[in-house]
Amino acid sequence: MKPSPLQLERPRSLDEALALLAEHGDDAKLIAGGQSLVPLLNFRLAAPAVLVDLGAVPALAGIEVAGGAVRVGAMCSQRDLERHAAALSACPLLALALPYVGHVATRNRGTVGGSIAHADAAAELPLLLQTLAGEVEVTGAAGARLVTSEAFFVSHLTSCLEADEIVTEVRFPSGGAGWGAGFAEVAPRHGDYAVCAVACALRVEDGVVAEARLGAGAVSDRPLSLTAAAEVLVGSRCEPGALEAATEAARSAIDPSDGMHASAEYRRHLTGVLVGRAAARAYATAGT
Amino acid sequence: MATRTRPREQAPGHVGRSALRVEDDALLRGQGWFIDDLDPLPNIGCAAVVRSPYAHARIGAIDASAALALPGVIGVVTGADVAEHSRPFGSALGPGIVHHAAAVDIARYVGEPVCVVVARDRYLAEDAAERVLVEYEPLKVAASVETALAEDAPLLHPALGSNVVSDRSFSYGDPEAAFASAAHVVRERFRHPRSSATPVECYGVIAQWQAGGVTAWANFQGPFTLHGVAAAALGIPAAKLRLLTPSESGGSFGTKAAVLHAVVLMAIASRCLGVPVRWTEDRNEHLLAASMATERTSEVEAAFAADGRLLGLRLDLLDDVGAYVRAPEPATLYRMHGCLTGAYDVQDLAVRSRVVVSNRSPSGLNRGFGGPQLYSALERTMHIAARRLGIDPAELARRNLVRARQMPYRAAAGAVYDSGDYEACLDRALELAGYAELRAEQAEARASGRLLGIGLACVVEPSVSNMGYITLVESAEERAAGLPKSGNAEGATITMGAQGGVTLRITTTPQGQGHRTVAAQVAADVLGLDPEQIDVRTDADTAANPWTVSSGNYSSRFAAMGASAVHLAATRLAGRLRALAAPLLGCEPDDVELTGGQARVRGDEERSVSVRRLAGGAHWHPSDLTGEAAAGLALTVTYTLPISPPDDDDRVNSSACYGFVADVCVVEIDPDTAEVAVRSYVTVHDAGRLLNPLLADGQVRGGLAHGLGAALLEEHRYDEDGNLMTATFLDYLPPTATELPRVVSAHLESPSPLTPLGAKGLGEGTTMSAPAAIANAVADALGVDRVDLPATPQRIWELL
Repeated sequence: MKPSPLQLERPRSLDEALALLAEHGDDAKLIAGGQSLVPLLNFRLAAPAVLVDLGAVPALAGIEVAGGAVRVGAMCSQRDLERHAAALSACPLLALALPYVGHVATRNRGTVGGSIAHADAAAELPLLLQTLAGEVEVTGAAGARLVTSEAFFVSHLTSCLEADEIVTEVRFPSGGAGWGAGFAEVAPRHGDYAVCAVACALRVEDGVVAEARLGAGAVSDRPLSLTAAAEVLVGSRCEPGALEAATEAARSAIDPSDGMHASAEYRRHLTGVLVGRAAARAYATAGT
Repeated sequence: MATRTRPREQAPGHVGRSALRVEDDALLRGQGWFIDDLDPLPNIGCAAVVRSPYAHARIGAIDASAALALPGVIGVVTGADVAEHSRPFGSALGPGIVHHAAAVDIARYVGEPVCVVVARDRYLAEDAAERVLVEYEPLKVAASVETALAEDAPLLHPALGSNVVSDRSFSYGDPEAAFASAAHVVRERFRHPRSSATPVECYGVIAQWQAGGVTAWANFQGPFTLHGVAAAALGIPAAKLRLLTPSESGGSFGTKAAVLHAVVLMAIASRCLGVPVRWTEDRNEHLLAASMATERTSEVEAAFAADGRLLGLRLDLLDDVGAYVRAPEPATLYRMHGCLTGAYDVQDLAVRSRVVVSNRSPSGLNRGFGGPQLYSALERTMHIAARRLGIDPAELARRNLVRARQMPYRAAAGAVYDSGDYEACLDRALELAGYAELRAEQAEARASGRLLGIGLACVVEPSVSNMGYITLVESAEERAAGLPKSGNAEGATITMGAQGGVTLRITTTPQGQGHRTVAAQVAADVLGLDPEQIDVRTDADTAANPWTVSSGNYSSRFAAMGASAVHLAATRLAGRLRALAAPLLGCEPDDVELTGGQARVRGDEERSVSVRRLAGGAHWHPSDLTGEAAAGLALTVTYTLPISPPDDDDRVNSSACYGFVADVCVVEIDPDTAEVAVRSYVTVHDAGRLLNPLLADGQVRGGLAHGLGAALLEEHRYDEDGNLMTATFLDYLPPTATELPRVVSAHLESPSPLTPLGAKGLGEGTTMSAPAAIANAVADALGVDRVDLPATPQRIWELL
């Protein structure tokens, strides 16, 4: 498969990129790492007349830990984030989840911003952002604004981005002392899109869960916060009874669909199993 | 002949050494020449294929005007052009199945070629292809075995009156008596799903029509029987179809037999448009329409005595070959015919073999070719029987294996197993696996709720197909009325230049197996040279190569046939060298030995002359030479193993050589997520003498990857409208490196008495055994009889 004819633009600045989007509107598409978009172009499932390559925009690079978050420039590769010691230390869920994002080769090219913008419900980075209640900095002609993860992920492969907007930064909240992380995923093969994935972050004080974040991927049209299940864990010591109750709450809260590799019922079952595993690990690593 | 255990790293000659591959240097440097690198002619147009989006539809008007209006478009060729310029492909099941290189009037599978658009480059061709308007009138679809067999099924080929296009029954010995006397009968149904072998490189073709003939380049792998099929379809004499293959291929595993259908299509396009036409297949096309392994439905009935002796077998085998019966189909169904009883000594056998067509992609060669389908039924039956009879599966196998003292063993349906010690292989596999300890561990594991399973498979691996086996689709009377078919010949040309350098030309069309390396090892030993002095040319040219219809790279025939042809050619050349040396050394030719680049008198090292000198003399001063010495240093041989067509009782030795594989697989199933982990895999092979243990090991591991894929991951799925749901690698899941377990591989050697080197084929064994071994291990872990392939976590979860 070869793509339809297109014009490739490579702006040198964010303003230039925004100007191109304003000029071409729906005829233009942004390309970051291309790991999701290029196959769509080759299958002619997407046929933009203009491709705006963000690879030369310096403002979109850089990772820093500041203000209680790991702030990742949208064009940072997933591999760069995976190897950023300070980021991983501040947000241990990143260290657990990034090895599941495709393969090393795709992570060398795939970007953090691109993964978030693509908004795949089975992808790990959107799941982490939603679980941790992170934020996305979106920049348009009128300037930059912060969008909550909850507002950003609208539906299947659909974000709230307008045609003239660019994801410029992704912010993963960093926990600090007392937080532990757990991540569990089932996929047909290592590196494949998840059939079910669960992320968990717990803050534990004197052995008791003080705060809980829980999220599931691939069980809805967007990454889901499992707030009810998380609430069950607060005040517990993640003892078997609490984990069982959280598992039940998670299973009741979701409405998964049948898919090629897994039925809705199997996904519902897995969600429960993985909630138990992710929460247990988060509890065990809290305070370490 | 006696069985030896590996390793044999200190072989006296080059044969038997783990020589590194000569192919690798160029490949690693990106300097291999693949079909897509070739640019042999000026003005080549690039093709894109318009394919049917319907599984079954009448084709109406085709309007290519918008396509033709695009700049850079050279032309559009339709089914009408194909019908005008070609005949239907010949099929083993006769002229009732009309199959052209593109759909003519009716499309019968999603992805079937409907038009070819040729433009200056592939991008333009695809732009134009999008603009071709085709009218389709959808017809009722039969996109599964069940719907194809149904009373009210739409008939794909009405002239045959049924979608069951072949139905043959066979009986050997006295199966009725065997079943009547049985203490236990085990009866089970099995389904082996469609899959395809997914080589890294897909099809590539460059075809030029000129002066009433065709010159074509393609990454074709044989069998060269298909060359004749292609020429006949083009309506030209076979000598007018010049086919060339590039020196490198990015893998095939059988699939690149069917590229010749694309050669025909592109040759017709070239004829119509007046330019050479290049077509480079993409992955989506390859998964959709290249060559899938058949879906096999089997019913196995096995009659056992009280002590577990297998008394008789009834096999009801049904292959779905897709929308057409593309040659060499229904070979998937008959390739294993002679050895349908596998590794077991059972002479009473009833078989019903049926072929059904459906609105799905046509089937063809894929690694294992009938073996995975057979053994996923037969070896599963043995495992189920072991459970029901209360006998350990290893013990049940042992009680029934053909014994070493029975070799050569005539199997019920006609295979002659040339050599082997199956019990020794099984013993070695059990020993390497620590079988007794595994069973003890399993008992403990069960007590604590862990799902640990052990699965065995004992598999006879045939190599070197006998072309005659396909005539079993005809009755003995029908065969008698026609010309017999049999054989397996392979050719080799060897030349020595004036400076003593040797060139070998063979038509084994390697697809990455390392034929150049092994051929050089074989010739080097015979001629007393270093392998570096032997240049092996494997790029083929039907106008220049030594080849015959059975030539090619299929049914694992290189070790037995290609290497033997090389051995024979080198031996004859050695005879010429001896004849040249004898007068110079003052001895008889029989007293001359070739070693270290010298021809010397046996027992008198001082009397020697360099081979280089002999070659120089033969080239520069041949006028005084007489007898064999005057015959020159270039010759061509054809090597063949004697083999017969099916006899009047429908017995056929369907292959020339038979190896054996015994596997022990351990799996652990996560009781909560239903994920399967293959904890270990032991495989013991006997493929006769190993020519290169390093390459043999590669084949074992690669074969296992394919087998594991079929067991756990791979299935081509169609919806009820005949749309392929697995047309990309998002949904069709071959294993990656992370899915492969630690493999312990060992070899025993029972040399074949048939081949000069004692070697047999070894390329498909673990592909045949692993689906059964892994499915048996899963069944063992769960304590169930039925395990559907692939045993995905979804399927296993439903069994928990």
